[in-house]
Amino acid sequence: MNLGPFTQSDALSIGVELELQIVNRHNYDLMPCAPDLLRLLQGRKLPGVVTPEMTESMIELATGICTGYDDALAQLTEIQGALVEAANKLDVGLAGGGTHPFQHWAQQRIFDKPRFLQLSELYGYLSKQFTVFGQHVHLGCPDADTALYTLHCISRFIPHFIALSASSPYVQGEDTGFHSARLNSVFAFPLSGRAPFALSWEDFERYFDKMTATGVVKSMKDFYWDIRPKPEYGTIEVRVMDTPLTITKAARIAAYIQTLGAYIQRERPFEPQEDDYLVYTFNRFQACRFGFDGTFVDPATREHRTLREDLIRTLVKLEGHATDCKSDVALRELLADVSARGNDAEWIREVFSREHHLPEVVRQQAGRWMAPSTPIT
Amino acid sequence: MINSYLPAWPLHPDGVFWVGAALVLATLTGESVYRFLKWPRLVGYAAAGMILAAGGAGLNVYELQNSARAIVDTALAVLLFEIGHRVNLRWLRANPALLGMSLLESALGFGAVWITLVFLGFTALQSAIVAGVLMATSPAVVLRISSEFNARGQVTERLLLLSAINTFYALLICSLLLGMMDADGPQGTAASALHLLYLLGGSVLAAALLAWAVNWVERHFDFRDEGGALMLVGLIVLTLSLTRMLNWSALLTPLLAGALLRWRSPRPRLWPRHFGTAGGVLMVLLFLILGLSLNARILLAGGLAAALVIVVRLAAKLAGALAFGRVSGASWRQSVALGLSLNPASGVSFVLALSFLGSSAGATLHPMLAVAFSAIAMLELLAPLLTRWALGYSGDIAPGPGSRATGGTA
Repeated sequence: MNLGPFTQSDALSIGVELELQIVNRHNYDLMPCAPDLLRLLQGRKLPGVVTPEMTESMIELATGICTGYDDALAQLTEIQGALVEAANKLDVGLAGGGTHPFQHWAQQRIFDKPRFLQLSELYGYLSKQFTVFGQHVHLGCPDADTALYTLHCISRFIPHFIALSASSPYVQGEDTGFHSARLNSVFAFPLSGRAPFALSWEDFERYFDKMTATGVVKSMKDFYWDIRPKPEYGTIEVRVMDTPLTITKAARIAAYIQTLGAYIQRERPFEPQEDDYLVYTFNRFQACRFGFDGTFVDPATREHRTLREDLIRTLVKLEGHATDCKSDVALRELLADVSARGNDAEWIREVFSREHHLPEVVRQQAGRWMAPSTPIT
Repeated sequence: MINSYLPAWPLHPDGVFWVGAALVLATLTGESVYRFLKWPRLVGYAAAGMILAAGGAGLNVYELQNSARAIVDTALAVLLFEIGHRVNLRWLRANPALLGMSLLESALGFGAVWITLVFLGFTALQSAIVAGVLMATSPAVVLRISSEFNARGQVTERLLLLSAINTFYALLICSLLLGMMDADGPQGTAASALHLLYLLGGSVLAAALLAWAVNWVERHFDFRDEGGALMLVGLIVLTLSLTRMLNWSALLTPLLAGALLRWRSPRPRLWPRHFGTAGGVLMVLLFLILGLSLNARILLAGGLAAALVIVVRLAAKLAGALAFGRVSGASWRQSVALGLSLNPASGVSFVLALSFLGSSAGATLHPMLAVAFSAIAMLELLAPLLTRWALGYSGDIAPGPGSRATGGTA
């Protein structure tokens, strides 16, 4: 299969995808009600789409093309409203969070769609264990080479996105000690990790052709990279985030990615090199494991600092671009998370230490996701 | 004498022997039908009771022993509390079509049975008794099957909700009918109305008390433990005894208590299904006793009338589920499955029918109650299979090896 041309998209436009947990209101375990939700939303006009995911207890929503933070939040709010209405009609809860804290993977049911059944066949228990919930953000790029340049520059900030969105401390009923344990499940897949180091579209196409020739992959969809180009949309897709507990935070993280994109595409501040990736998995692991307290190794200078420090520096540095992108409010809120409030993983642990009951934690998670959003302006 | 320590021959097994033998036979049958036929175990328990009854060990339903009755009451109290707690009253507000569905399926079911019996020549009041008794979808069967086969999905949730609500309607209607019978008798209308008020008011009070007590104990014990679960069973049994002493409704109280607890505090609770081993034994005994009392002789006594009643009830419940299916957000397939899965009748209907035996006009009701008992006996064997099939048809019970998993907590 051919990779196809790289579609042109509005530079710095964004799109947000969120995978959500569907839980019952009795013991707050996962509940296979995706087909019911989809049926109730049929024919309803939304600014984006709601689609099935791998197992029937997951559902994915996606905005259309958004100009920025306000637009993304408005679209997310509208889709959230429709989903919450449908969920209430079915007496199910919808929750954010990168993992369901106590579901048993063996009990999940694969959504009845040829692609999912085929994947399930291939990956076996991995596909059921892949009942994890992520946020993906698409960032529009004016051309293919800029897309690849942006991709390799933004790789440096992957730990930021992980720490900001982390919301999966519990897996199968246990505290993993991680802020984002979800990414450990993603790592189990043979084609996960980082994109190959290619800065021109020809190089990338050559890599893709070689890979398809091996018969290992058929399309871009088979790569579970942290960031991957999406030629048919003309975007790069950042895929490392856990689904945050609220749509407001999801929109803020998308705004941060957009602002970083503006910084990278306008200033071209880095000269990406293969050696940048020497520290990549280390940084990524530190973010997953320790959140903002993780160690961050600067790929260029090899300097060590905490992720918190690097995030604050970056957020401050982006102020000018944030004003241009109208994402300054969003970034200020993220700064407050980094310096004072903590991330969603910490919130989840706090609730558990108060309640000592994981189903109650999920109930409160669902309460947060389903509550009408109150954007701070 | 030299052999004084040897027992006298022939041996005379005591009651304990028969209880043990019955339990072994019941669980053996239950496990067999589950393993080889993938049928619900409870069908096996009831069938074992019927087999024993055919061998001459049956119970006389018209003069049920106190011990058997006590076990049935306790098992039902536990089950009704459990299903009451599964009911999320807020769901009815978010989806009023479900309330419509519940009212319609119950009303149609009642009406269909009533008209059939009147048509067959029974009096209006007598027909109403059978119709009221059969209004309830058995909470015992529904809870058992959904947890045994790990059913998850919209049909299961709706089935549990409708079962709890139509059981509530059945309890109200039967109390009303009992009151009306007494009003015809020596008491007079005013006194029987007062009686009804006392019964309902007292049951609500006892329910509130039980809900409060569970909530209080819960803050000090972990109900996921066997010990905590036993404590819960203890509280339910204590309340049961209280309601019996005070002549309140022993069925309405636990049902209301469960619903009240859920409504007042939405914190999820993970007690073991049917509250652990104690509850599990009660379940087996419940279906065993039902099989022993509603045996083949009783089953045949109702004859054509009972069979007709079952058929029209099935059609009525199906129609109710279909009428509000799509509006309430279910697919056609799910609506059909829900309508069919609503058929079970067992413990609650059984006890309700018994309660009319104890009324002032009890003796004259025997032919009428024979129809009710016979219908319950048939449904006891057939309806669980239909419910099991329907939940598979809707996809709530996963096909293949998944359906063998018994799941953790219900």
